[in-house]
Amino acid sequence: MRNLESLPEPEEEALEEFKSEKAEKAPEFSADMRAVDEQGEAVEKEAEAKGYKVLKGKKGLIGSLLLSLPLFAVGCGGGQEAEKPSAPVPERPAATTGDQTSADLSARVKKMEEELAKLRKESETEKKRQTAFGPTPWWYQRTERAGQRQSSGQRQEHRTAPERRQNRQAEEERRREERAKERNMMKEFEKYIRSSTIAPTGEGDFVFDIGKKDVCFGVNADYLQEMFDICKEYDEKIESAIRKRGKFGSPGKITEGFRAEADRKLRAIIEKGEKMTLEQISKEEGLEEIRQKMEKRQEKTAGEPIE
Amino acid sequence: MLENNDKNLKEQIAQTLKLMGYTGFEKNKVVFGLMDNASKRIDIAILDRLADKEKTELLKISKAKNKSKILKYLSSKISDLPQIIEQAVSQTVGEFKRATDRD
Repeated sequence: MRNLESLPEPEEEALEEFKSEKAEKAPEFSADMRAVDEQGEAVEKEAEAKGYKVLKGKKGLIGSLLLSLPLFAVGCGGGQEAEKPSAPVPERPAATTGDQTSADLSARVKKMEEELAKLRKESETEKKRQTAFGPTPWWYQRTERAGQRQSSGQRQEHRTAPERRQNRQAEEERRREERAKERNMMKEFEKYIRSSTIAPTGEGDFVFDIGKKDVCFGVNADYLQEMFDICKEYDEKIESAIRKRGKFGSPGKITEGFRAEADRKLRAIIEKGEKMTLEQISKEEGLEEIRQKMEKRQEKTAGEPIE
Repeated sequence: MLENNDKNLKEQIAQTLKLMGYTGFEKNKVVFGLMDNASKRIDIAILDRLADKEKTELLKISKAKNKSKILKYLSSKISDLPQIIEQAVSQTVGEFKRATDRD
């Protein structure tokens, strides 16, 4: 039997082959990407001419936020409940013409306008309130944030010195507990990062190793797209390697290399992302699907290491 | 994985541009590139509408990444925000179509 380990399968070579195969396969794709890049450069130049240097080399911060908003339910996020559309959104036909695209966009725009009008009204009410009573005092904002909004009678209540001391002690205790909880969460996260495997599965998806049943982590929505892109890229590479080497020998060594590379990149993104527990993820806009996926995975793999 | 509407918009762009023959990766590359360009355009259009003081204020708010706050602020300052978005997307896709002879 041939020793598969001794077969020459340098990963660099496979990567180069993959790249050249891609270049041959899609000249149209290269032309499209050139057009996209040129357009991007032109927009950046326009921004630069207007003195908006913040856009250079990056995607538009506000624009990308607006584009990622669920246009039929604007107003979610930041603690607000997402409003469900009153009527189901009709399915788009399979073939979409330019006219249909503008019709779709117009429908979205109309819905968004309604939602924005609501937000504007809220903002105006707040402005009127501020004009009448002055800016919201800091102590009022704090009690509001803590969900301990008190009636005006309670706010004016006179407290004795021992009561104040007691309150202060209770507040300090609460803060200590919060800090300890945060420290524990970070420890868990570090443990998770060290022991977990995050890799593309070859099915356009990627694996989150979850660790404990009640504690799991993800990243906030800002980094998901980046992770998604990496997974797609490596899925393709792995698929291509399996296709190519399937006939001649084990693709294991190459795919392992790709998986390790993807793992490194994904890990780096997760590290810079916001760490969240499953509970927090469920509250984060747009992450419901991931939460469900993670939960399913937990059910399947509870107590077992993920390959 | 992506928000449904975000995904819809991307699929819609892919269909409009007839990118169906591309692999998922290629399609995403083109569509995400165009959406990045559109997002830059939206930024420019928004910044054009704001006074210097408002721009500074917006940048400060956007650093906190509180979507609700950003949206509230924008909607209080710009009345035709949806049209700005629509125009930026249409212009970006239209320009791309012309550049690649898809018209």
